[in-house]
Amino acid sequence: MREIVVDTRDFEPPAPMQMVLSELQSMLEGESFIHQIHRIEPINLFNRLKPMGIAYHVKKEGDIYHIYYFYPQDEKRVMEIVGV
Amino acid sequence: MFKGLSLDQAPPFEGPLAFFTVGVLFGFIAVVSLFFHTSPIATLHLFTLGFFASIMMGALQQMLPVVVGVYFKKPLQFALITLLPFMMGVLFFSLSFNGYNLFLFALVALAFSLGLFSSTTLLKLLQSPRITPTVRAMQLSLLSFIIVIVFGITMLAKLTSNNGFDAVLPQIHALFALFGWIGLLIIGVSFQVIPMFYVTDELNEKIRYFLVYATAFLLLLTTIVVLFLPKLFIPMLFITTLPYAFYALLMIKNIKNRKRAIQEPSIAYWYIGFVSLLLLPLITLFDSEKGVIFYLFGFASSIIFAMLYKIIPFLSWFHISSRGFFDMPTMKEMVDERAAFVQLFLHINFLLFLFIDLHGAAILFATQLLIMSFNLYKSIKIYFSYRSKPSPFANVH
Repeated sequence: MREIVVDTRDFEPPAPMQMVLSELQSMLEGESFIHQIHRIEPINLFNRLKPMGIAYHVKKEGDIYHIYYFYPQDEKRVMEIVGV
Repeated sequence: MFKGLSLDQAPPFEGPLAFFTVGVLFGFIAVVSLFFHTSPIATLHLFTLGFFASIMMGALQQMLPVVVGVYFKKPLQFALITLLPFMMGVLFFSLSFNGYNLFLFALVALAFSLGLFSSTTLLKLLQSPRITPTVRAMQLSLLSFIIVIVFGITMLAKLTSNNGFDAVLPQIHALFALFGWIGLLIIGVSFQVIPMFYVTDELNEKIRYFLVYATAFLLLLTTIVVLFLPKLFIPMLFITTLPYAFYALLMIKNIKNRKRAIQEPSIAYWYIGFVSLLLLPLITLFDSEKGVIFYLFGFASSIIFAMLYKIIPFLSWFHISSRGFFDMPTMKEMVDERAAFVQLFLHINFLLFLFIDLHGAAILFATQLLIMSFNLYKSIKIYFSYRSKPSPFANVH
């Protein structure tokens, strides 16, 4: 599966949300997932994803948040790849 | 621990927007009042209550859910029942000092609206699920606001019954308004919004707590000293400004070290606000009255302009996007930056004129309010044009 990395740490709102939403359009079921690197938990973005049927997982390392976005059907494979 | 920023429980945009609009309107009325040589107390309160307090009350309502995680159940109704009597109260107050005996009406309207706003908001803040330097600063700011209101109402009541009062009452009233309500609110909010909007590092938590407590402690100390030794008012005022200057120094350094040094009007306003604070102890020492004016306009009004230029386009963008629209203009497109820079130029001149000619300064202030109103109206219009459209999310299951 292809990992699409989106590093939004240096961008001010609403750019991080726009960047992830833009990449979501090219995310394909069974083929790719998005890995966002951010300085906070993007709670507003999580709420936007609910009606879109996209799942996510948050992993915190120090002060940095790694957020993975994927189709619910791909959860097991994505979790294996990212080592959760 | 809460690390994200959520606007999902934020009040509808209309609530804070009503307060901001009323604030700007009172800004114009205050300028007119200055020109017609009406009572200085009336003019001062048209600025402090009408302009500053209403914008700050609107911002506080907006900030509570975003940075603190608590919210009002019926935000629009709450905004309405506080704003309408508040407006009446400020108008009655101004008229009372210009020959109309409306002190009692002003007293009732202001006591009701401000009492309801401050006590409800403080209660909400005390229920905050987490305590951060921002929450603590907001709590102390609201507590100061309540003290300001109590002292204000006491003086109004004395005027209603034709009784005089000691000079110490307005001094303490002003101290808590400036260095408690306005100062602590801006300090607390800045800790949260500067890292968020300008991608800076956060100040160390211990330093943030130190700034909040040092400010509050010196305010209290000054009050006690002034109560017993009124002659020490100026030296104590000078001491009270010191933590503000230290805060400004730290914030300037913090903003200067931000990763993406994009030039935009709002960041320039923050800089002007902080530089004003750095100069404040010196100005206060030479002329305490000018120091107060400079604190209000050099510091507080600059920060208000910085915040309005950032939060109005952001909230407009946010509320539209949260309803599922992604075809709206970007935040950059919602504000004409050239107009905002013209306003910035006028603002700098306005601050210089505060030392030369108050009437000239007032014209510059009104002109920049006018430019800002036209400029921000664009993003508000965009918000309302999308509000009436059905949400694309309505069809997603």
